[in-house]
Amino acid sequence: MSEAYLYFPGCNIPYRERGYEVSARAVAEKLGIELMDKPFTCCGINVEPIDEFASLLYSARNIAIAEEEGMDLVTLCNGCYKTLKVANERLKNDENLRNEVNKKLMILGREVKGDIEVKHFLDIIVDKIDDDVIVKKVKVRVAPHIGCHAQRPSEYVDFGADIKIDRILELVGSTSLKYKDKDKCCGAPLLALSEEMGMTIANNKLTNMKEAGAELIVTMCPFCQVSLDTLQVKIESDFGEKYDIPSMYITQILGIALGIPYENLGIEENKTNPEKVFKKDL
Amino acid sequence: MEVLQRTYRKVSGDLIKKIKAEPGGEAISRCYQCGTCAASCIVHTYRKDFNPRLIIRKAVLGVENVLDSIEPWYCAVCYLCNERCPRDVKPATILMAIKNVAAKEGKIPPAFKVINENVLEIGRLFDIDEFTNFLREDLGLPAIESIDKEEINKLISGTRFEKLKEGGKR
Repeated sequence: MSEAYLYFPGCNIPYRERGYEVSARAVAEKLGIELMDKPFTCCGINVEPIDEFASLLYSARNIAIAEEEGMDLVTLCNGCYKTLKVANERLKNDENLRNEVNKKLMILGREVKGDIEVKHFLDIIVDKIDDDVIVKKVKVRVAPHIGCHAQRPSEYVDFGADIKIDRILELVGSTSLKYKDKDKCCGAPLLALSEEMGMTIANNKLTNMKEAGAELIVTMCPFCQVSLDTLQVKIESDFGEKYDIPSMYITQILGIALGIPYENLGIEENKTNPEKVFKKDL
Repeated sequence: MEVLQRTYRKVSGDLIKKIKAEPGGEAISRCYQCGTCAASCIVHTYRKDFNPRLIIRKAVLGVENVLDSIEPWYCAVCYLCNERCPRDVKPATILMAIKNVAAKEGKIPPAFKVINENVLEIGRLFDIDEFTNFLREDLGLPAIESIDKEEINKLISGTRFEKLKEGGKR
């Protein structure tokens, strides 16, 4: 029997980071993982600073839908992963909170019982990849950017993402580089309040990656990809720097190694073009 | 006798109570001002006015009204300070509590209202309309269905998040 999950798309990916979704679906299919779709709202992360409880209601409605289907939720976005994972654990472990939330969900004819799990896509694929499924090695010096919410708050979300992304890169044939402030934020959360501050932080990250000798950036969150991919050209012009380091999703580089055709991985949706990095191999 | 010069003035007596009433807010009293949060903070590196240690200090003592300040909203919520805090204060969580207290008093920076306009109305940050679904179809992706607006209304009815609607559009 194939493994099946409810795919939680979030807000960013279906709207402006479709290459992540295209490549993740292709990788899932290759690895025998079935992804099902349902109409989900925002995970709740945007609501949190304004109304922590209302944020939890958004999360809880999404979790309740997954429970109705009797399936675990899987996310591609670190922000959705953290928000839903923390909400799910809080609702499971705090009966008073769960009752309070369920009073609201009852009006919708829904309920959270606490019987599903929230997982990051990286976490469900890593154990299915070994040398047998890798058909093409891509020898590239990669600066992986894990992103905050796949690591912190660690008491809720930590699944060893840094080790797992390194494991995949190793199987793919690439070298994972260490660089300064690797664990720190990409700047994206600040873009709405101050684009300059968000880009300053992203610029710092790009500088550190360049200093480490990166040929390619690999991300696993649409917000991080917006910072390092979408904004890279603007950062170069605003800060007078030259990086020219293409940034792609872990599912895209993995897809290439799994033998999925390059053009079926949504790579043309990226703003930076990684073709030159792969030219030698393709 | 020399007069003591003061930069700050005491403005709020009950702010600390309000913060402690929020989830995770109680931990604020454990802070011993070591500054590990500020030293870990990538935002503080580039914006010295954003200093989690100092915001907590001001909130505890009730000097300056941190609710009127934009600084708590500069937290990227990366949680590095939460991980490193030797007193388990969880500074990012304290700042989240401060933002929630400010929001209760109607003090929400415009940027945070704007990003939530769609979340309030259609349940998501971006409207996935017919055109976006055409783009998705071209990539072999399934269409994204819209969410019943009535269900969103019911979900948030009676919350203070719902009141953002009354604040009107930009």
